[in-house]
Amino acid sequence: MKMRHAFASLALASSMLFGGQALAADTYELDAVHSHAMFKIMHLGLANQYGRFNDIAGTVVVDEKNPANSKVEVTIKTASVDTKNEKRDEHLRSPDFFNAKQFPTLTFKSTKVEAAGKDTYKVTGNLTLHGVTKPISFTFKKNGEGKDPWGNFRMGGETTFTINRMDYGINYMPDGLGKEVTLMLTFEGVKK
Amino acid sequence: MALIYAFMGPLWLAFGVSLGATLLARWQKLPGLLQAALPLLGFSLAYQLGWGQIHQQFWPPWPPLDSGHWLLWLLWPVTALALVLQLRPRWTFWLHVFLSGLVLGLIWLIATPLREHSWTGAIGWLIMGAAAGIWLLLIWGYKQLQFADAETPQLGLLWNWWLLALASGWFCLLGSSALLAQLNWLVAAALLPPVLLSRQAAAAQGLPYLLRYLVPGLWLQLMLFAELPPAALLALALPLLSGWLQGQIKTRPRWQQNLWLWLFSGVWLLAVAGFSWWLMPRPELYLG
Repeated sequence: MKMRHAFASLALASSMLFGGQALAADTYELDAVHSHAMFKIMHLGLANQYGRFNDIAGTVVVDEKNPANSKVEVTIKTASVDTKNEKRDEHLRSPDFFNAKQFPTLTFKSTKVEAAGKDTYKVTGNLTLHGVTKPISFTFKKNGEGKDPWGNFRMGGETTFTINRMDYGINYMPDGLGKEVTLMLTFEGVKK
Repeated sequence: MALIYAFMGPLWLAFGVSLGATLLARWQKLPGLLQAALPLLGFSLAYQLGWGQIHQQFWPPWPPLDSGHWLLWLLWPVTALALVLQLRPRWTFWLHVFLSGLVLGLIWLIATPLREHSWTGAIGWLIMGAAAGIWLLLIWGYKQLQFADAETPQLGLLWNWWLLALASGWFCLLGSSALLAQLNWLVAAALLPPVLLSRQAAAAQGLPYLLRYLVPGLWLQLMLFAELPPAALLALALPLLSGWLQGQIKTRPRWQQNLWLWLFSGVWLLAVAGFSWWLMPRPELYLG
């Protein structure tokens, strides 16, 4: 009887322990209205040109106690590129750049998340763009979290990082456009 | 200005390489076999080098990253095939069968990403069928011209291919792809020397085989991955119309036939190019 009681206590303790860990990891679904994927690229060595992708989706799993359990997954539709000029957007969607019909999505999947200070995380993962997958790292800064006026729990943050478009086979017009592209992502997610 | 140089550089390179090979082919001391092969080999090398300069790499990656890379991967096998067809006309039938199979395989390869991502069910197959149909139409039409060309020491009919490549570049520009425009004009630049300078038709006999592969391949990319202006499809009627015109004027001297066909092709393509431009919605100013 004593033995049975001991097993029951162990099972309860273990379920509390691992169940507690699972609860500590919160999953946030990207709110596409309040999240933004923007980029800038140098034009003719004169001025940065800015653009954005209007169709983004993704989830972020945050485990404050054990950041290694955190995950980031983002998917962007390349055809949704928007630079405030329809003809330029068509050009960017064409085989010259994103080749959007052939490579419809840009994705990022994290492989490692580490704490890098207060509310700051170093995220490492694979970025797939134009059919090429390459590992990248960036620092994600959590700006805050809390309940919105409708009772949903939200978390938000942002990151900025630079990639070389040549690494992804987007090598057209090397003299006209910069090789480095800076991506700026702002994330606002609703807890599931 | 630097951008214009960057755009024109590969075209000049292709023209120069092809010109060198064509002039070398005219050197009487060379063996006849080499004289016959040089314009064709020069054309393929010119296209290859121009492609390399545009893409900042000599050779596309393997496996192909972009389905358009298949076009270059298969360039040299098709060149070899065209060379055999040029030098061994007796094997023509089976090699034609093989070339057609290769071309159909290429359609399948180029369309791979769309089959995987965008097309579903009957619509996908319908579009694939239309693309294959247009390609076969081109092959069929120019097969007639190519056989007609074989009977004469004049090269007039190759001009039609040159004009089509030139016009195709324009349609690609209208379709928002400067890259595909550049590749079409690369074909035109590499083709110009053999068309202008090959003394004998035999020296340029293999070129139509290669053109029947390259030009439709670029068209397919324009149709599937860029924004093809619908009116531009009228340009693809050129082989059929030229074939019909050729039937009407076949009793005239050969030089007159060639002149009429060249004029007709020029006027037709110019009209289609102008019509396509006229039908385009006028966008806000965008110069790259």
